[in-house]
Amino acid sequence: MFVGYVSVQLARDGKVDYASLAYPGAVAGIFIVLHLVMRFLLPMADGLILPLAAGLTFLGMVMIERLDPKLALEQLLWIAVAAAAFVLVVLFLRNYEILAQYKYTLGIAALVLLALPMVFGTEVNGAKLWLKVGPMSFQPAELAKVLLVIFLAAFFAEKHELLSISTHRVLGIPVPEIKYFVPLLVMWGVSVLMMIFQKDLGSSLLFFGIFICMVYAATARKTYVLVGAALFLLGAFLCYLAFSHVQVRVQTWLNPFNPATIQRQSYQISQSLFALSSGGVSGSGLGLGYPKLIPSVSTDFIFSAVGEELGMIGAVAVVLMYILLVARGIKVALLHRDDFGKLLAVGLTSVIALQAFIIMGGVTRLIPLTGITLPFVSYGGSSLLANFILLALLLILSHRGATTNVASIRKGAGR
Amino acid sequence: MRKRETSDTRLTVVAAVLFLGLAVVAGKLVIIQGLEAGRYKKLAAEQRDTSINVTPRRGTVFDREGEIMAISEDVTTIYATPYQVKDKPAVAQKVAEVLGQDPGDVLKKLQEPSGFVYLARKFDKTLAAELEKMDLPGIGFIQESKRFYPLGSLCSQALGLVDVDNKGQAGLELYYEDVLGGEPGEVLLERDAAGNPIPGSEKKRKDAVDGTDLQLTLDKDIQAKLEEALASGVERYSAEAGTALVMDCNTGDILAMATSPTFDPNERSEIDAAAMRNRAITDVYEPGSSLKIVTASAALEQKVVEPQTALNVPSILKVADKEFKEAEPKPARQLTFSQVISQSSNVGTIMVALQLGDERLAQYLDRMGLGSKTGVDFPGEVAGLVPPVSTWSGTSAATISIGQGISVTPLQLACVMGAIANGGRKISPHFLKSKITDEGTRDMGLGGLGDEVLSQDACRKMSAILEQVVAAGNTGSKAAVNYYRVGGKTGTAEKARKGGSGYSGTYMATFAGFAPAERPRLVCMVVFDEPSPIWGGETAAPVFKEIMAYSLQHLKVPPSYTSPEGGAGGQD
Repeated sequence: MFVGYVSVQLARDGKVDYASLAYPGAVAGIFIVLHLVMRFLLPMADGLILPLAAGLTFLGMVMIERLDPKLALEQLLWIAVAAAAFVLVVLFLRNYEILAQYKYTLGIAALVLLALPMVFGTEVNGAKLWLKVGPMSFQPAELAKVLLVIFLAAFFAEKHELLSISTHRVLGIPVPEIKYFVPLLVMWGVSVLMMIFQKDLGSSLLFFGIFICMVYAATARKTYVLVGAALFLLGAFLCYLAFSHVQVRVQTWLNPFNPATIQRQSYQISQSLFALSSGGVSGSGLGLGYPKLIPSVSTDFIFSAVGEELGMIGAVAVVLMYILLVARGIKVALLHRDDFGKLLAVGLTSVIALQAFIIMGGVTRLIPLTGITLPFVSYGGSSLLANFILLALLLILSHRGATTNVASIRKGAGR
Repeated sequence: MRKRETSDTRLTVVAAVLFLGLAVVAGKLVIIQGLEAGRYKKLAAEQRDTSINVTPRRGTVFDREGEIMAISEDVTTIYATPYQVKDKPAVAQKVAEVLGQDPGDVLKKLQEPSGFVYLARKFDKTLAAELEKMDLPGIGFIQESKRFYPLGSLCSQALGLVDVDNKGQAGLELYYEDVLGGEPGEVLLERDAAGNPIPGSEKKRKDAVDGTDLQLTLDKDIQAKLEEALASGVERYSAEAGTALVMDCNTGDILAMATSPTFDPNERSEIDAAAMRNRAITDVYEPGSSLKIVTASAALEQKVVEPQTALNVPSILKVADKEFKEAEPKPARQLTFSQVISQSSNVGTIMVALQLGDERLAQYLDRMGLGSKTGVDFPGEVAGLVPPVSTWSGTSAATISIGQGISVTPLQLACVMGAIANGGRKISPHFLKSKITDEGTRDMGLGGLGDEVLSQDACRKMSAILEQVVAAGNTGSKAAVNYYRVGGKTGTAEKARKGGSGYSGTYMATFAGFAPAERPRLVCMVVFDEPSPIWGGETAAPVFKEIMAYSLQHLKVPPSYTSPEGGAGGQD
């Protein structure tokens, strides 16, 4: 990160200002503290997860410093706040099982958080996602996604056996009782409502994706997945017919270089593609590209800036970091013994994987573009806070999974 | 344990799906950044940037002695991106103050709903720097260069000028555009999300390649003298215009060339388009008697006559139903051929031309380069009109032999005169002497003597006859230059009626000559358009004398005589 920082400065000013190395120094310090906290409190936790998150956070800091130095300080402060939250979670939630007892409270809290902006929200860039409190704006959906994962994990852990019992057969396919589709329908309803009221296609897709992943992991019922996917596509199609902003998203996805829209609706996506392509294999070098041409490059489009300045090598490396993170997350789930922990780990991992996929897929025009942050990398306080809490939970699960395994092995050995 | 295994399988499936999704993203990256990067880059180039061409520093033009004739100065172009200008009236006030414009006009520009407006193009560099120091948001600066002609109107038609984009527009500036112009660079103005250029985002994409300096064959001092003599001649003889040129008859170097009136290329807005024509090259006229030098040279070389051949010249000569007579009525008389030319007898010349015949006359016109371009390095040269011999009527040889029914450029006629002077070798007239690059001066080796068009013997005889023209009492006596032996020929031709047949009653007066006769160095040609008096010997000849006298002295050409009028102490 220091190297990145210095090269950004060299490209921008042609000289290095040593005082400004305080930023990367501070971020490094925060992660060292987090690492020590983890080592002492969660000695058995996975050793790779935190460094991966640190790497992505560093990259984000460097890119934000390069794109908008004013935002870098804010990002640094948010990293500190998020790190504090991380420590608090590790301190007080090491017995994560208590979360399961409050599952409905948390679930309702998540829904309330989601609903808040619809009522009190401020509209930014056509989407009502932000709550303004004084000078700060906060995106409740970010926190809601963590709460929702906890709720779903607890809910499925308790009910998955019921959910997986088939009592009917439709066209020869075993189908569970209708009432067990209720949670599915509720989630679907929430997603569609989000699309309609908040115009937040990204989060809507994310929530539904998390739900599908968890329901499958919990029940192994392809029926849920198929019905869920069908419902989601139906909902998306209805929204496409009903709402112009959804149509615009799809149109710009299919035809980003349409001369009629390239200066307006499809400007962002086309600029993103141009930026990525101009980076080529090895990139323009930090500070030497023109990523500022992309609107909201420091949040949703930060990956395009990475691709332009660090090239295919850098961008694919970022993808690999997420793959590794997901691999370690799934490993946490695999090593875990109780269902709640397992499902929680899967859910948290899915959040990161899906979120990364949705935005990276969006800026590369793999899927229609939806505004969502790139975990750990993008500028944004709510996102950082949520992701660090998520990280803390994952590490707790990892630690606990490893210790119980060791205990059980010892127990087994003793027997 | 069984249950745990199934659960793990599910997790693996979830993991596989998530991996697959991310792997597809990586694959898509490879496509965009690797495989199809070129296609996207092309699209990007079309859309992304507003690019502004940066005019390179244009090559300097020097005269043969290193005097600067045209040079490019650094200037600044000032533009604005209106929507980024916050306090428009205040900014307009400040900008207008520096630019010396009306604040209202500037404000109007700043209120335009466009992303880019020029506030001032090619503005003084130091003043622009003052404005730049104020650091006004939305106001941008581009460094450019502007053409300046330190000698003002001097040599303006030959040099030509450049347009506002610094591209050659006329004259040598146009002809040598590729050399002087260099290659333009490109500055990119990035666009913001709304597609407007962002001031201060200028990025050089391509450096401009500066143009090459040129040294011309022109001589600033001779040019100045020529223009001065020509201008006073135009005034003295109330002529419409005057054209003159001085050329080295051994190399084809054009030392001076101008048409009066001239123009000042530094004051673009006041230029009269007619004054921009470099008429010695781009305009043709009927040369009249001065063309007799071609007829006479052909006759001498073909041994149709000798200088001393006596001719019985009638007062009127009837050729195929048409009667030819002298410019001023003369009785029938006996003249030597030499006298026919020196007294410019039409009848005598026609008699010789008829003996020479159509074919041979046409052949010599062609050999002397009439009817085809001289190949001078100047845009817009015309070839003139020599009717093909196959179309000649019974009177064609007669009329053409005395310079009627044929059109030539002054430069073509100067080349004919030069060929006679230099011993019969074809001349390639040119302006370019050398290119000056970082590696040094490279002589372009233009010109030099070409094929033999006339035998040395014929040239010697012609030269002697042409010296007689300038002798006291003959048509060109006013062209005589003190201390130097001069040869030449007058011409007075009625102008063809514009847009119709027949003649207009107005005249073109010519004198073409060379000096020093014993070792010719310079050719000079003077033409007046509608002078009064009409005679070439009365108008063009004295101006020729003025120009030739100065040029010979300026070039330190050794005098032919030790006394002004010649005779005693002559070199040969």
